[in-house]
Amino acid sequence: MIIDGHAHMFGRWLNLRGIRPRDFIGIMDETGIDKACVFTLEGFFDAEGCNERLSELTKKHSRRLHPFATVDPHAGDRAVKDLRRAVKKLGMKGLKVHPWLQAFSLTNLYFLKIVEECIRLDIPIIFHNGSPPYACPTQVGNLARKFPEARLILGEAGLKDLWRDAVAVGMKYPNVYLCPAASPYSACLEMVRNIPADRILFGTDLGFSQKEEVVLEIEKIRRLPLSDAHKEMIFSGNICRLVNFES
Amino acid sequence: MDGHGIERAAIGPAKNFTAVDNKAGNSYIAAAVRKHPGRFVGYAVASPWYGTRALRELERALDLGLSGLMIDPALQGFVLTDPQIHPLVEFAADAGWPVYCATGTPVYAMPFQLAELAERYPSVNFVMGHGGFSDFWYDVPDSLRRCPNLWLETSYVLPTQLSRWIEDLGVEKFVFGSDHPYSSLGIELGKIRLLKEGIDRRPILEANFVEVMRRRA
Repeated sequence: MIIDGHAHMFGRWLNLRGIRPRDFIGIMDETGIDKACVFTLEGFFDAEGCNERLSELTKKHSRRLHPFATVDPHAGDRAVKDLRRAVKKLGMKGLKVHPWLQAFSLTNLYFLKIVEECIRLDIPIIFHNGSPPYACPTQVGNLARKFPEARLILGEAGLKDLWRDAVAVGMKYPNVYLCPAASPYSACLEMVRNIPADRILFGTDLGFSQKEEVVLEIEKIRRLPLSDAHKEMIFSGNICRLVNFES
Repeated sequence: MDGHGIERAAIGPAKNFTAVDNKAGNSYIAAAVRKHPGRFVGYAVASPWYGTRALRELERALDLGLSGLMIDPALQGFVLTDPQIHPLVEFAADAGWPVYCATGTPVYAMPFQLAELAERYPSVNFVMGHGGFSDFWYDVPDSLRRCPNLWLETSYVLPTQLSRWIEDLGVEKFVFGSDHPYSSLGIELGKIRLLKEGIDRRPILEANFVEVMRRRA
């Protein structure tokens, strides 16, 4: 089974429009993906109402598409309420943040309240990761140190220039998970050499990317020098421990 | 290369060879080129921090049969707009060498910084290594448009992004590169197959790089 731990649904981001649910499911079928954790596109610029829209988009495909919430730390205490509502009322399965696009630091006090709420709600947080100045692996590492109970996912696991940071942070903090979408193949090799396979997750960034990138990401994991059992963990087993797909 | 049907490759030093042990790196690449002259062409490296010694090393590399300059500002520790790189680029201009520059690392190696250098040296062919990956995709089209002497090397860039740029800017501005073994030759070649239907892959895989290697008139 393959579960995509990192994808974005239809929405607006400048001139990008994302992928409509039916086409999204079509790509999943063509590439052999059973389920996907899906995030907003436009919510990184205007979080108002983005969770309701995403929830609506995924409703018809609730067994395949599992929405994560996005909230805006600039909204202060309201962001905590928005998150709680998204999880409790809309059934969202995690939190996605994009600190670079959302323009906030992971040390921001309002954001720390959001992290505390994620711990209370027992949901993981996935971060866009690999883009200075706000989205660096060591910044997530610092957060992991502050909140050992939080489960934190490095969304791109450092990309071309910061994957070494992702490896270092992954080795040091057992509550950090790596989802190396669009990171180099040599980086993936270093990750599986140094980090237990139960903390590496498959993800594609579909929505920002297209079917072609899904094909590439699957190929990258298939090529890794791992046992089939370990690959199965990366493709689906690990995310099932982080996300409650049944609720 | 044989396994993937690659006939020829431009190779350059990496890691410590690029950062500090330039002489050893250039000798190593030159030996590979001498052993397989029909398969490899070699880039030379020299850290600009070595000053006039860097120029002497490039002269030695030229004598050894290397045929381009590779720069990696993030690894070699200089900002691409720092004039200390100019004597090395001037050496490349005199030698008729292209300049390959790794890009995509903020502060040190961004596409517009390379465009500035390419505009300063219009007689030199420049290659934008890794196409500004990951976060400089907005700066790539204007950089390529500004500089007739600038090509984009495709490693790491995602295939749908690449397809859009090729349709927008013309296929002649793109050269295939794998950055093997840091990316993977098989994966990077697979990416070229995933380009949008109708895009002619052949110039990306061959003719465009031949053009890069040709001395500008």
